[in-house]
Amino acid sequence: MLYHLSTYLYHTVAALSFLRLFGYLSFRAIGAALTAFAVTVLFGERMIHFLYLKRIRDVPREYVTMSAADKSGTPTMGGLLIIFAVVTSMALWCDLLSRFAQIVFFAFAWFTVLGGMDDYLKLKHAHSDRGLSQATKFFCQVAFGLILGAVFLMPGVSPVAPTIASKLYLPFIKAPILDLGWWYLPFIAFVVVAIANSVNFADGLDGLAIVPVSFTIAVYGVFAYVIGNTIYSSYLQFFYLSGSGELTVICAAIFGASLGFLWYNAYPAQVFMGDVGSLTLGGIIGTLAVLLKQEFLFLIVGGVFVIEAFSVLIQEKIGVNWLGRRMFYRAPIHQTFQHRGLAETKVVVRFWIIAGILALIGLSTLKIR
Amino acid sequence: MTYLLTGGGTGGHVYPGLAIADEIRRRQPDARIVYVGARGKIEAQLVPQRGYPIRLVWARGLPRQKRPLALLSFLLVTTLGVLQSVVILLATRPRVVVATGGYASGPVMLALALLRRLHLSSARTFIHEQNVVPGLVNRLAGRMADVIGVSFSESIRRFDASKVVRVGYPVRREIASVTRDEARQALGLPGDAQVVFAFGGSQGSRTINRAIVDALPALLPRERLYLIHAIGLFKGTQYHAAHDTAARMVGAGLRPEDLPRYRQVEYVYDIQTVYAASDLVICRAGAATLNEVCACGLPSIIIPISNTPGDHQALNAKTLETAGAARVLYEEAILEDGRIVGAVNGRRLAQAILGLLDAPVQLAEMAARARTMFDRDVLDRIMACVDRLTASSPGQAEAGYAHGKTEDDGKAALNAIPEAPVQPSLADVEETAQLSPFQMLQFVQKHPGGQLAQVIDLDYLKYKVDGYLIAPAWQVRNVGVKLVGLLGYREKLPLLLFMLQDRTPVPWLHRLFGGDYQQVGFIRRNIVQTLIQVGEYTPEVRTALLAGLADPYYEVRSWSARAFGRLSPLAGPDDEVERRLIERLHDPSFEAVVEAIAALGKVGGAPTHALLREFYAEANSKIREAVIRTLIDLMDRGLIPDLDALAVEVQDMLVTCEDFQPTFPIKRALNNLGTALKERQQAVPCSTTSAPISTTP
Repeated sequence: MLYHLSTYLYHTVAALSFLRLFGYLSFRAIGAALTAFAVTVLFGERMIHFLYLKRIRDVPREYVTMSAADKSGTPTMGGLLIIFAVVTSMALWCDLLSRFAQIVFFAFAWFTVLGGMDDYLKLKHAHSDRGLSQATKFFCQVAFGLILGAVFLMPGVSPVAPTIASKLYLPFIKAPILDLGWWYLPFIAFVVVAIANSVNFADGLDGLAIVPVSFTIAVYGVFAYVIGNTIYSSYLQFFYLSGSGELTVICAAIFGASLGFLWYNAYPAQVFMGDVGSLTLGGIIGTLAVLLKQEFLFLIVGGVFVIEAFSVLIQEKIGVNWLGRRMFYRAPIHQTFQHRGLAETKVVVRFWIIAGILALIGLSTLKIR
Repeated sequence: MTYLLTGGGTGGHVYPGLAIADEIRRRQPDARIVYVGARGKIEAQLVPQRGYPIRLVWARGLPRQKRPLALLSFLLVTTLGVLQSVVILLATRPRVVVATGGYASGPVMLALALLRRLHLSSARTFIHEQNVVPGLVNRLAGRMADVIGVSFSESIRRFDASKVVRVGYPVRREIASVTRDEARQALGLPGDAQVVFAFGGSQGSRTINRAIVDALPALLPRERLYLIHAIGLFKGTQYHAAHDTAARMVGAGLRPEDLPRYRQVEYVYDIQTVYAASDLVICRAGAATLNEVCACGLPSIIIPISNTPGDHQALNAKTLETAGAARVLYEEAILEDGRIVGAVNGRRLAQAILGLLDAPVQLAEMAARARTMFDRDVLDRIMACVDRLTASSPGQAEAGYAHGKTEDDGKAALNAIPEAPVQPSLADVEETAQLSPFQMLQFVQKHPGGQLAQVIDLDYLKYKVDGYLIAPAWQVRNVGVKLVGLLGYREKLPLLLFMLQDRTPVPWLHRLFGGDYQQVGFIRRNIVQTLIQVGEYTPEVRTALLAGLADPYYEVRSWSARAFGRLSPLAGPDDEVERRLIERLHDPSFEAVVEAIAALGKVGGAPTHALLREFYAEANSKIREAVIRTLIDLMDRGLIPDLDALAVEVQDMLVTCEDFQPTFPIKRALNNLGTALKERQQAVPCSTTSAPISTTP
């Protein structure tokens, strides 16, 4: 809204020409990040108190006799804080007429409802297995993927030119390797579902999910800036997506909100993000990957999530259910490290380091191609 | 008037059909009866023997596995069968079609549905369902049938209620028509003989055949005891009834020609004579068999097939046992020639037979009870249903079918047919029979210790466990293993020890992904856990655990090491065990190393201390922690003589550690409060503690 207001003002009032600043992506991105961070930190304390009072917390079987080493009792659904901050910041700093921004708003709404339902049911039944059924969650994610894909591939509705919309790009390679046509639709659904769930798996230790999320978002933000800029994109031999720079502002908002959330989520956590946080953040990253046509980049920058997801799949589907043995000591993989005698904080920081290095490698694909 | 009867594939569907055919012929000697059966199945032999013409059509059951090829051939065969049936129906023009289920009746019912739709046939249909849960053919045929007769009231809700009559299970009147003296004369048996008749249905039963052969040495010395053994017609590649039984006879050193009072036959065609001559029957628990046995008023020893759908054989058997008409011997999982099979111990069977023959009063009582279990009016009821279908003239029948008589008319007419008295529901006898293996495990876990015997028959539960242990799915065997531990079912320990060491490989695809043996890693690990739970340390357990220490799956190695730490200290020093535990100190899995170190603290000798020194600066802190605990154990056992040296030595211990346990002081304080609260609440029972403590904010 600030964007629209300032554009209107500097066109009409000559004295306010400095407001042209709002036309610059970099300025709006920084503004969005700072706003989102400020909102999370300012409202965090109150939000956590509210969640605690509403009994939205990880409840142990016997509240008053829980173990002193136990994390249960901590308020959850802190993801709502992130979502609130990001949406507020987006509303202030984004060009709301941008199709990119509209799609991301829609994704936020969809995944917030889905993750919120899941958390709500778990709390209601006081059991972590009694949320939405696997099938329902999967169906809703696929449905979103198909809607996103349909919008993305339909000429006129899509923010992306039809000439590149259905083409498949790989990191390190300049030219598209394939034109999938409408077969791109199931691929989009797969990407969204895979990414959303992998972030969901990683959300197991204090700060384990949020920092890699912020790194991943940052990298996608840089890509959005480059791809949306005629000069940089031609210099780095990228395709050009008109208007994708708007996604930079959104990424910046999420980055700021993530830092704000980490403020409270850092070990020992005062609040957990819950499924509403991890599913929504995962769904948004999936949406960004699709919109920027950088699906495979996630395998690098989201490597931590990919490993977590694969460890769960291998352990459960191949090991426990099919072969009748464990494939890892524990899954997701961060639990294996804990099982071997690494403290939670140590595991988390090491995963951050790995995520940071992967983010750098991901950034290097801008130039190395 | 022409009646067309169909049904078959297995004896269980043919016998009721024949019983109905006999009854039609008895009442209307001039009626024309045509039987349609599946080519190459049991009805092709049975029906002509009873003097009915049979027409054979192609038929096949729906393939169990979803293989495209099997499905295609099923479709082809069925299409062919339907065409054949159309020809037969048009040629014979039956007034009434009676179907008793089984896939043989599938094509006929499909053809009939087709012809009725085309107004080319006016035949009315009666179908009879023998089981609680109807088969596929009857479920589909039930929609077009005019009247449906069921054996159990539980089946009624599975059909259109306006067409169902509970009639019971039909048994041929001939079955109970022979007197004992006639029968014995015909078979050449002395009047004072004790005759035992053993059979496992038309196909025969491996369990019964083997158990009878095993029981022979104990039975034959008995002077007056005559044994008639029908081994069955089954001739498969895996199992061939005649060959298998012959091989077992040879193995036991028995030759049939040396045994004058043992008569072995493949199949008994005039079973009523044998029934009439018998004093005791040994049989499976199929509905046909048990109804015949009751009709003849015979005491029986029943060996139900385990793991049948809904466990109906076990339920049938238990119903008769509860009524005092029979004894049940459950199959057990036993080890035979390196394979785990379901079987009944021959000695147990012999004891049961001789015990009953030695108690004539009890035997007579059982016979009387069996007779009361039989319902004599079933055939009358079925004929009342059939007569109602033929009562209307063909034209009326067609009109009735085509233009739809009102439902109420039909139901009113059906109401005139007396229904069978309600038998005690089988499902009530053992509601636990319906539980899946996993639900059964939860059920047992929910009822600890002594409570269990109050909610479930322990013999039955053990029989279920035996059934699980021989199941093809590893998940089910795994449940069986856990239940052995929970029940303290020590008789099964030798079997578990065998499974632990069984090295039958899994298919190559499983091995490619890391699978190893048929008794998968979880099963082997749970066996070791069960051994710890049961707490018996025999030389066989020791051997199996030593094999466990070399298992390819790390959890089995670490649990085996733990088992030695728990079990073997009582047995005294054991060099072999110690040596093998020391080998585990360099196991690739740290879990196994930790457990080996801990176990050496309990069973290791004086050299253990020196071996531990190399771990003082070990990278993994869990291993170092185990070393320190073991040093304490060794010190307690007096195996570290120089304590001053130890005090110096432990200063070399690397104590930096990547792990810690957090303590949240507020939660500890809350815990103290909660514990105190609970104590007070329990100390004052009269106080109103209605609010559960966990919801206190």
